[in-house]
Amino acid sequence: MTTETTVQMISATIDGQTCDVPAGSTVLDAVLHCGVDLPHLCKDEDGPALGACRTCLVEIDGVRGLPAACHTPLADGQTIHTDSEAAQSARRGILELTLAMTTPPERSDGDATELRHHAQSHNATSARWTSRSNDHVDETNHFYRFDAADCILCGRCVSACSDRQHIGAIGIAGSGKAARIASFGDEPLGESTCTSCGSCVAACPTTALTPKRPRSGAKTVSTVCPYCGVGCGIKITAEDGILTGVDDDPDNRSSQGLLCVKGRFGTAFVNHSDRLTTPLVRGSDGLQPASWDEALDLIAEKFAEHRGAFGAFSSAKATNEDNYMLQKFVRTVMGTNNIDHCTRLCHSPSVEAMLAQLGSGATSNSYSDYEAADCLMVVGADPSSNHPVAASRMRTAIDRGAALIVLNPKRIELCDHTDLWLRQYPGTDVAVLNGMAKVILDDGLADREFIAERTEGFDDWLAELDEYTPATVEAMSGVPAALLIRAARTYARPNPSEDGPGGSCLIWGMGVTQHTNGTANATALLNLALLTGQVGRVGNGVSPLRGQNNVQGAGDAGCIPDALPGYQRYTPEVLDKFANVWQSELPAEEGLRATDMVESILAAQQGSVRCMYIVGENPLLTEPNLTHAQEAFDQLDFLVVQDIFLHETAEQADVVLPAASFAEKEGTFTNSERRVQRVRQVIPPIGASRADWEIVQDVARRTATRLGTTAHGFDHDSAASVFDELAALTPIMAGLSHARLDRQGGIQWPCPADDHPGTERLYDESFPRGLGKFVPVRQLPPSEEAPDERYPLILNTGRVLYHWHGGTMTRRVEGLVDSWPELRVAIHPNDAARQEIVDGEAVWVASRRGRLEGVSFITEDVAEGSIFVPFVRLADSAANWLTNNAYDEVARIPEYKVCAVTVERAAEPSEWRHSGPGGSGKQGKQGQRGKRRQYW
Amino acid sequence: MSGVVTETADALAELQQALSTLPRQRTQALPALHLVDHQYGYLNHEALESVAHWLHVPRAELFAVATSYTEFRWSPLAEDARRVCNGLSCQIAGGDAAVSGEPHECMFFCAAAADGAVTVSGSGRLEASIGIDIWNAARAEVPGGMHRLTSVRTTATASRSSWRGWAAASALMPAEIVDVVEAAGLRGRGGAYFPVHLKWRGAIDAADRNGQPLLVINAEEGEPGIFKDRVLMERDPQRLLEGIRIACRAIGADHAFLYINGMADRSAAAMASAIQAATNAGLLDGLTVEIRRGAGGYVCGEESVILESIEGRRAVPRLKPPFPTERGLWGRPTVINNVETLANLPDIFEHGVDWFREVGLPDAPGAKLLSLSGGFRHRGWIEVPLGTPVSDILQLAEPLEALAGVAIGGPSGGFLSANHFDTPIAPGSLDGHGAVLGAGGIIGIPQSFGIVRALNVWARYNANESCGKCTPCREGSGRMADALAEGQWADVEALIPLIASGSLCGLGQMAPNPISSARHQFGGSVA
Repeated sequence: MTTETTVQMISATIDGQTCDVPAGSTVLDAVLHCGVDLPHLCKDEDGPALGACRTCLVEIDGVRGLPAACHTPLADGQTIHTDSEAAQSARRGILELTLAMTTPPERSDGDATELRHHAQSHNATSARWTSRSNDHVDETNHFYRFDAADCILCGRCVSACSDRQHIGAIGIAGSGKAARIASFGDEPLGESTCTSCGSCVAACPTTALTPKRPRSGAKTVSTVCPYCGVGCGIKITAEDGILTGVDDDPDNRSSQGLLCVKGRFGTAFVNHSDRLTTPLVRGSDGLQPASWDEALDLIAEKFAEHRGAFGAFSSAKATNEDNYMLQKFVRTVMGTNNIDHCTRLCHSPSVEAMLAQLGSGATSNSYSDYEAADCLMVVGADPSSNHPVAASRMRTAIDRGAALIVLNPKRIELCDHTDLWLRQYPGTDVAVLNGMAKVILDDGLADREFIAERTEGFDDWLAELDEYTPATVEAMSGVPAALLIRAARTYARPNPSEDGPGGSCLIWGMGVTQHTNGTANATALLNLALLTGQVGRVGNGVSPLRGQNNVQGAGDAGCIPDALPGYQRYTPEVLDKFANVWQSELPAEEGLRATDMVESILAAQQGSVRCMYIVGENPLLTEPNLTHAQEAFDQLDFLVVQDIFLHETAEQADVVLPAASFAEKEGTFTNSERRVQRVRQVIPPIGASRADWEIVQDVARRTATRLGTTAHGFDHDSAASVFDELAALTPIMAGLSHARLDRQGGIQWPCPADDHPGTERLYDESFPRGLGKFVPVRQLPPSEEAPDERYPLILNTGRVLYHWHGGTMTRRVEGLVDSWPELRVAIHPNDAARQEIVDGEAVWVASRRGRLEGVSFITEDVAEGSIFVPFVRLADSAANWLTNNAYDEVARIPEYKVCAVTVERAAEPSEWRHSGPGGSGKQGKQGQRGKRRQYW
Repeated sequence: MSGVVTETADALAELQQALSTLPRQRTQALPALHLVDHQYGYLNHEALESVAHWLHVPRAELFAVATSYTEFRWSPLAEDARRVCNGLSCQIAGGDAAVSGEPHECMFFCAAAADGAVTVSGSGRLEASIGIDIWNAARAEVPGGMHRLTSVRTTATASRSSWRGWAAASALMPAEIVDVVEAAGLRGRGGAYFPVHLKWRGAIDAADRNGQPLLVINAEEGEPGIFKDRVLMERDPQRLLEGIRIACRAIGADHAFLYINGMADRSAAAMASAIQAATNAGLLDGLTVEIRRGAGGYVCGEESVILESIEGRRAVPRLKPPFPTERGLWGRPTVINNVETLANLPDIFEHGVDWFREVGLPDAPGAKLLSLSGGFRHRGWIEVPLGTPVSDILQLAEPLEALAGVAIGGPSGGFLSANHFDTPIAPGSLDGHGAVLGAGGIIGIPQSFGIVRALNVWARYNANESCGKCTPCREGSGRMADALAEGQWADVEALIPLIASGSLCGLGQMAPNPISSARHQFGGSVA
């Protein structure tokens, strides 16, 4: 990305001024480059030319008529006149026709729009023609309104929705004067397939599409979205310490100007009145406000007492700098490797499998490979809901003609784009993946050259595959043999040509990992990629989609119990290197993993964790079997929670420390494609909150003092300085610094040197472990718990588009709650009929471990025998009261995706259902029931 | 109630069964919508959702596509509905759609309009209810000798089955075929008269960059007063197929899309059986000719709209450049030729270049099929050499009463006043203003009807048929028709240059042509 390619330049004379632009530019590009303020109402800066508004007409010497600059290629040496009488008068006339489509300005607040601006500069008057504006108004979306009276049918919104996001929720319907912006059947936008990403609002050159929450403030800061692992660039506008709006960032290499609803409309939680503004210390009356000194001294005393019985959870929502300082504190001052974070609950099996088979635990490719792929195979993931911008980039490939294979027991939005949906019985992924491998082998589609040169263990693995014939796999998994065969052939050779088999990207999520078979599932996936050589080239690769905004970075920064920053194992050399810089002895044995820390508390034996420091996590909502987790946390001697809200876990804490949010501090996040990006401060910290890394420095120093030692290197005065220390110790990030990231934008690791451009794609020539390794895996019993008479249904959990994880952030954003106010229990029509459940009524879901109340949502999106409940906590119900604390033996990830439950009508409100927004809001939502919800 | 539900469910099940025979690709959008139309007689949301699901097209996008084609209905047609053609020729024939039924844009039975407009009763398909052989009826009124003029260049009386032109062309190398066509000087008969060999060479040259060329045959013919391609397809489908075969060999295409007007069921049926017969006879070896149907809208005759339509998109024009020969269907080089253009190929190869050039003009050799309607005794098609004076044609057509003038070139063309009837038909402008030969429609305008009324019919037609994509045409053409009707000439004059220079496609740019031409031809009697 730093390499300069020679771009051929051509020149043009524009209104007498000569300028040079790259060959391939349009006349409009050149005109704008010259600084001429030519109208171009239908041409979005980063969108395609639409040629609809005709307001960019110019004269070109030697060219007949008045070409539209936006779609006229510039020829070298052309002379262009934007200011000729003919061009100006035509533009004025067309602007007047355009004005007549809209409400006259005295009835509108849209004076500042592109249309009014150019009307003014051309002396175009809305009085020339009688206005024929359309009076249709649609307020049904929770984030924006559509007012057709200001719509000029330029089509930018439609292009943003269809050509950029590839959602297609709106189109220009009708012809001639009946042309209009419309959803399917002119249904209200709130009932359409609109995902509220707001790309249309951003694209609108008038006030036809406007955010309901007006944006104000002069200050705009480029930073990174705090939600998922895609790592989209956002530009936040703020005024008086309050975030007032978000715009997309076309310069961000990962998101390229795309955002989803959470990124564009979901940051209001930052200024929510629930934010923690002061430390809290538990007294006789519960948690009470305290000074920082009071809180920190108490923590230092207790931490010092519990050295040897201590564990910490770090945060995948916090920055690399925050995470780095926390693990350094845990290892140096507390002398333990008991540090982990939520990767344990999401991709630990992927990481385990990738480390064992490839030698590194990260995504091998980039989002650009999704776009370049000939085939995308999406396994156990619902990117449209959980990684919406990555999904948009996948749909770019699909719309171009790439094949799509979906392996998922639940129907997801992407299923709308393919007839290769493999709907396996929950927990039978290994059978399906082994079955695909066998088809590929039997059909002679394996990449023999790749296997010979780049892998080992092939023959041993081969021996294990025999039984996975299509017929057997069909019996085991429910996936029809014919479909399995087609999927296998497509993945192996999606677009065979002389140049090769075509590129296939393997993309997966929690549906692979959150099983007792999680590591086996991931292993079977990697075997498939090795078998077909689908790794290391443009348009292929293996991608575990990372969940949190910085789950990649938290691991990179060393918040895992089995390695130091940069995945450096506890070898004597590595330990020496760190000990020298950190001026401290370091523990050499692996620490406890997150799930095991919780179990260890209950074990209450020598070495058990008795004291915890939880930074930016909420295990009492996100651990499986919450009753069990609660029992564990009740046993703790001392619990410190550091976060931005007083969430379920914080409420149990002895000390709560107020942390600054992502918008109040400097730092870096690393996204799912290994891109390290700058997080920048937009507003001052709320109340007395402070950045996590700053708090950890104080905790470290005071605890060390209590212990009678010194905490070295806990005196950084900036996040940049923390990052420099991390980079110096971490070869994969050695070439990075805040200054460089500020200069060049986000860079993908490995980036071992200052002059290294970063790495788009891994494994093009070799794997970190040398050869890729085939590892045999067998289909074991699909889950720990099987349905039985009492609990006849399988519960699958996951997430929905409008909420983030447990909902701690999104429940504090009005529009998101309004868009998805209730905990929906998705149930198949046949199961609902058996229980006499109708759509939209209160139901109980119970497992052996607990129960919750939700609202039935009858849909064939879930298979018969399965239900789906997102794990967001709404109306005081949360799915993890039901889930099972059964674990994958290798990665110790809980089996969130399968447990046995029963569903019943809740004729009466249950005794434990608290009053909450769900109660009163229920009636109002009746109108939305029954329609198909594409986005979970 | 339950009976209705069952009926609806049955209809949907039948539709889904029919859909399952279509490949699950967006290009099948129009074929799928036609299936819905046949199943229900109109489009409905439930059916559209099934189509969207089957084709993997977002449903709002499919809705946008479906609503852009003006022939599709969105509610059932009443049993006793009377649809009355509102085309210019029918209005001249005495039709008054406003009082006698549901007005319908031109149904393209212009030659059949005699006493009163063409009217369709009931909910049946148009041609089933109008009579079994409209073209026979039309032809019966044309003196048998009329096509003698050009020694049977269009053998409209008997189906051509020799394929001798192909026999000659298939012995040539593709490049030689192009050379022959260049030597013949064949120019496109769709209205633009662009040299055929240049278009072909454009696509052949682009093959290296953009892939194997495709051929699209423009058989949309959705222009009031034009019905000559229908004649060719219904009377002599093998001639067209033979022309397609020759063209495909020339440009190296192995797939051709024959895009036929949505109302021309007979043409489509004739071509379908001809394709079957030719396939059975081994005449199409290695060539797939796929019929696609339009669904209304004047703009569907615009060549790039046909590409959008075949790809399953809204009926709106593409931006140019790139031109279709460079990047057309799915980005591949695409030659779009008119039916009549291709129908000329077999004779050129059978009889030779010199034979072809025997008639016509040096720079526009050969003959042209004309469609005659309006105030003539003999309405129908006729083929005459290019260069023939309009007066010679009128003499054969026999005006029923004194003509104020003729409309020539359709709604994108203009008029010739009686003073200019000696103008020879030829490519390019006939009067320096809007009058052009175009696709060859000539409508006699009786003095009793008057040019002003004809002008208003064209202006309103152009406004109604604007596809709505670009602002000048969508917003301007309606205002121009209003201003014209109200005699607000200042507004008309202000709008003409905006629409003519500002519109995206040729149809928009030419929408003011009738007005400009009429003012030139008739001066003060119009304005």
